[in-house]
Amino acid sequence: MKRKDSLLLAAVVASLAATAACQGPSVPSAGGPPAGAPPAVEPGSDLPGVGSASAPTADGVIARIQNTLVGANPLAGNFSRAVAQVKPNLPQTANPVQATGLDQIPLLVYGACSDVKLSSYGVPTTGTVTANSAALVAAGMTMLDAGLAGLASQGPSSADFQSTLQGLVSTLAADTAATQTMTTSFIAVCMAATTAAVSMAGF
Amino acid sequence: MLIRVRRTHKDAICNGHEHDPSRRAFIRRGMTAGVATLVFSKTMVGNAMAALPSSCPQPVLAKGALAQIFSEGGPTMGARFIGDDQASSMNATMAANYGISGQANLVSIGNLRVDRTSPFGATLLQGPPGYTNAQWQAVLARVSGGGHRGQFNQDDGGGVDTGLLGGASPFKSSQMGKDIRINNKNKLANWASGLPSSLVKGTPTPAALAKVFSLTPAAAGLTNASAMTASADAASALGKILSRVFGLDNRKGGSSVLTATSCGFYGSSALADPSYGLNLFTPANVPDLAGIAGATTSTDAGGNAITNTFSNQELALLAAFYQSAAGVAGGVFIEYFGRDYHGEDPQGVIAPRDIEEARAIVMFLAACDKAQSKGALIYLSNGQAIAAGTQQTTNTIGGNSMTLNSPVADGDAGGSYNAGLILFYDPAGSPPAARFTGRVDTNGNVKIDSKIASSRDAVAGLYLSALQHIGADVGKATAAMQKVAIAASPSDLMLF
Repeated sequence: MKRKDSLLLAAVVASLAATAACQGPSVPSAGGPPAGAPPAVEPGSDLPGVGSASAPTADGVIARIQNTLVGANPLAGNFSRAVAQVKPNLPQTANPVQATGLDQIPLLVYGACSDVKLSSYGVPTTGTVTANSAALVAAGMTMLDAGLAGLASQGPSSADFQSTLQGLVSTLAADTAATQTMTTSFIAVCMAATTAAVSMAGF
Repeated sequence: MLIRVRRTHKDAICNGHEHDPSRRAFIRRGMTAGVATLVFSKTMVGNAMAALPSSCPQPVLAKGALAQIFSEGGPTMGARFIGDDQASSMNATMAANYGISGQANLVSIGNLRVDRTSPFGATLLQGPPGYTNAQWQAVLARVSGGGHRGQFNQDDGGGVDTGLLGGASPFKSSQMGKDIRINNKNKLANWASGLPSSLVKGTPTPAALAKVFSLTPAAAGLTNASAMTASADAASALGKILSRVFGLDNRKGGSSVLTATSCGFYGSSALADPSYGLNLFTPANVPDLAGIAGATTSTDAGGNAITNTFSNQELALLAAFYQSAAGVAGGVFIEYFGRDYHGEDPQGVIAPRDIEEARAIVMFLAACDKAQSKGALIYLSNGQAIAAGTQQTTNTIGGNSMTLNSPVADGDAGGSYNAGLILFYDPAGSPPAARFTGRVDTNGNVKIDSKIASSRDAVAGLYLSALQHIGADVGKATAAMQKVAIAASPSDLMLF
């Protein structure tokens, strides 16, 4: 029954995608621009020079997490306790070559994600991961958008972001090593999306 | 006549015979695509997610301890370790300048010498709790040493930020893939900046170390190892998309940021086990250390039982060094502050601090012994205080009260005698025959080897030697150093 649901859902998604692909160049597609249309331009690609990336420093990391997640407060809850534990280990310099402590960011994100209410993102607290797959993916996209100024859902790579989150949710749903609940799955999505938005954009 | 029309896959989708497909055709087309999507995505995503990215150091449980003690300030370095050449040419002036009692009290630890009546020497010779004197002497017999003398010649805070702290991961493979830094405050060597590590501040205790290697809040009901790993996979994949969007591959440091974050994320999945940190850093929970963890005595040279207890700090260091030796962690790097000895009280300040550092070295050697692992410990300061002989003091070493000849630190003398030292331990009893560089005159002052012109070079040489001894990736470390214009000729800097 579960597999039948999955097939049906995939069928609907694929049909919509196929139909959308026929509607002309104004609709971005995962497979690239339609024939004849100018190639999609990534943001910033027209800026002169190459320049350096930056590492987010401790205060920046904390502020970005707060900005990315609804209900995450660095002065309260688990987020504040994680800040107390992890902050000394976070990067102290924006120099991407010299910065240390980037590996601590996911630990801080975990503390913040544990404070976030699933309902803030319209994700049910009960039910199976498979059944709530779309809600989990949507939550991840919302988080990415909050941290990346809407780039996840509006940019030309939108479908890639979406499919990556879908891949994560599918992996969690099929996990045989541990039973993943809606809470563990939501936190996993939250950690992936927030860590990426906070620390993997190069600024 | 057959007319061929060039069509693309889009023509097949959009310009088929049915421009306005029926509901049934729509579903049929979707079912086909849906099955393909599920099959292909599961295969491709599964394969992509199963493997740790090649850009991350692969977790390997490779034995080999690597540690550093950075004694920040300017201690009486001559009252710690000296070399054979210094011992054989020891005279009253040199002994007074070093702050030791004289040649008669010098004893060998491999090719190194310590004053057995000094706080430092007596502590090393007493050994850790749980060892008989004979057992500890056997450990000390497996030690050799060497060093670069003369470069570390600044005091009063000078030189502390010239990159005197190094790093081990990823040159040294480990399960955790990161180093443990204890109170590291000053600037790392350029080549060590950005290496993966976790920092512990304040007095290191088993609980303090465990806390850094645990999740807040505890994982129960919120996450688990497989959810964390799946999340790390997804974050890495999202990072790759962002890398493409923001052109990180072409921006300086872009790939470093991405790699450090994603590799660290993978390493965090082990922390989902709530007892992970405590099991690592509580010696009583480590099978090889459990036998000595609760010990409160050892024996002296006459075979008599003496009081010898672990402090909480010593237990934490013992466990941290052990985890490095066993291959769980990378290196362990400790910075001790307030070692600017000139004018300080020998009884209340100098002796306790020398004892504290010597006890840390004892813990390192005990950890290597218990792990049956090679080890290398780098020991340096940014400066040195010249002494005006010694003063008798009474201090406790592990709770054992002793009368000692403590150095009387006179004034700053960075350029007189100072050294970046290294100890090698080999459980098989064949530590390398390492050299000392720099020439010592009759007053004990040093003239540096011109091939090792600065402390930057000396630190690089010490690290390459350490990595070589424990079988780590010297080539990778050399490449990292050469990237920042150090170690153009590694053999000039290495000690064996």
